[in-house]
Amino acid sequence: MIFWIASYPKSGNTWCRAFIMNLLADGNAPVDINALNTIPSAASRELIDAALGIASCDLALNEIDRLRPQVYRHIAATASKMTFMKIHDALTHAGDAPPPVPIQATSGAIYIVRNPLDVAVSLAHHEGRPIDLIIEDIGSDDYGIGRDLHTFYPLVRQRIGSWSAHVESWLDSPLEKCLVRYEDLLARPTESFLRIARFSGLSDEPARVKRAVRFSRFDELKAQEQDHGFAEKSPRSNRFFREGKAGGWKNVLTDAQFERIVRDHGRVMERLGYPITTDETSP
Amino acid sequence: MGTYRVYGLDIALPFSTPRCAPECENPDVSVVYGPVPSSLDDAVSKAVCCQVSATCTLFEVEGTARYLVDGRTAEITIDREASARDDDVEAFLWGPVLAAWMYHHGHVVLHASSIEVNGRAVAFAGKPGSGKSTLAALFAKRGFRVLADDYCVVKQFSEHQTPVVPPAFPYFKLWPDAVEILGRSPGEFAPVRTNTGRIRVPMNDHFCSETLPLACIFELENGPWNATPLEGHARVFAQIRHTFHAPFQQVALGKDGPFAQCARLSGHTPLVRLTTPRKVEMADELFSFLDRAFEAYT
Repeated sequence: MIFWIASYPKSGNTWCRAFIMNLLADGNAPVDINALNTIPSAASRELIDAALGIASCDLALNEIDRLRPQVYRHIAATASKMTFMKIHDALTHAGDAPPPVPIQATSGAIYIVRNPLDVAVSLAHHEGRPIDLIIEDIGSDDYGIGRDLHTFYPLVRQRIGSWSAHVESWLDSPLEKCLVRYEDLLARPTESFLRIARFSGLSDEPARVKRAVRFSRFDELKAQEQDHGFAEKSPRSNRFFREGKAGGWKNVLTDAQFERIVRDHGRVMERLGYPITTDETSP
Repeated sequence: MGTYRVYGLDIALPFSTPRCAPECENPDVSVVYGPVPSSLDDAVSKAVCCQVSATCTLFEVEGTARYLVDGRTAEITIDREASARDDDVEAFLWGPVLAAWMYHHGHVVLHASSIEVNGRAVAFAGKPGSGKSTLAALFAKRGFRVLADDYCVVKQFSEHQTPVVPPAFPYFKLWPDAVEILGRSPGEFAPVRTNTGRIRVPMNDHFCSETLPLACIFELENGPWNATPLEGHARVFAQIRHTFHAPFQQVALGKDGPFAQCARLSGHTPLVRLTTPRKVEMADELFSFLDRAFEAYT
């Protein structure tokens, strides 16, 4: 069965994978960030091709969409141990294709959510695109990754959709889930990661959890990237691990950009406890 | 309807296709239309679209066809769906289905491209996206002849025989950006399949239609410039990693199965891990690097 580490892009998914990898490894040194793909992306062509028995390059995008739930059922049925998988897709229907994650293949979902005001800034850096275009994207049900058929991309198409629709598709799904706010991971890391460990059935031994939290701290991940690079960095950005802060949007977004994001996502932001006025102090 | 020659085999087809020769009396393989079961009773390895037994492989591509490869016969059976397009049916036949036939008949099938260097075959193996096809196409642009793109078959051989690579298909399957690297426009060529991205680019005079002895396998990886010959188990495992049958370990592990073939192949053929920074602007540097590697290993 599969535990999903689910999030909108640039919301702490890699951080969570680093914690789980360090908790599982329980070593004396941090796990190499380039080994984080041991928890693979659900959209990985390598993973999907092995489960299909044919190459996804030979399939059309909508054919892959229709096959993905079968891929995860196959992986869940044949895996010899608990499997963690990263996923950025929304849990929505894609044309005639069902949502990518089948409940029968799922042990549970860790859903990490981050204030969309910070997501917009971080995603703009990651994709090397203007913030206004990113704000359009995260407000659009058509937003996706890997739709470009001009070049080989190691991931298949992922239907991300708008930030609000993404959040609600996971939170309102019937899957067993553990909702974690990125901001709480920053403010109370040990407590928040301990909750993830317990939900996933992993060790909650205090010293082990503390060590895994320390080995997956933002400054450790950033130092490793500076030292030997990170394979998951976008070619359009200088680095993957940038600031790792909450509330950085306050120094970047214009009033108009803030208002647009709140207009698009205010209802769901409030549902998650994110302030929707600039005079509120918390991130 | 005609005969298509590939991998040194005459394949009788129930449909017509470009470069088809007239029917021959004794084809090596016959492709026929007929009923194909939805599962193999004795399957030992099952994937979503593929099931493998000791003797057969069954493929099922929804909306296109089911294909049955029976290693005990010289037939491939296609059960096509009424709405299937001809190019879709052919795309899978010439890819994994024929590769499975070669596998069941004792040949090693590598996920690799192959070019001719000094009268011998050199194979470039690697993961999807590692640049196998683009590299072969760039070599073709420099005047080299190409034996294979996508699947490189190493024909059955004994301990005392040199492994050989028969010619595959006379076209590349390239992503549009790779076509542009070659200085061509993607719009000039037809897609391999509609809505799948890759384009079929003819090799024309750069296709090598002769079977050549295999000199060396290069495993492509991204990284700083380096060429590391692999020895012993590392070499065998690297070969296995790039074989078509790697996912079907339960059947491939047999005494005379493909893994045994790989072990034998590794005794004949050097395998060198090539790590290179993958940047188009470094093409000249890459060719100098590979020229030196060819001198050392071919």
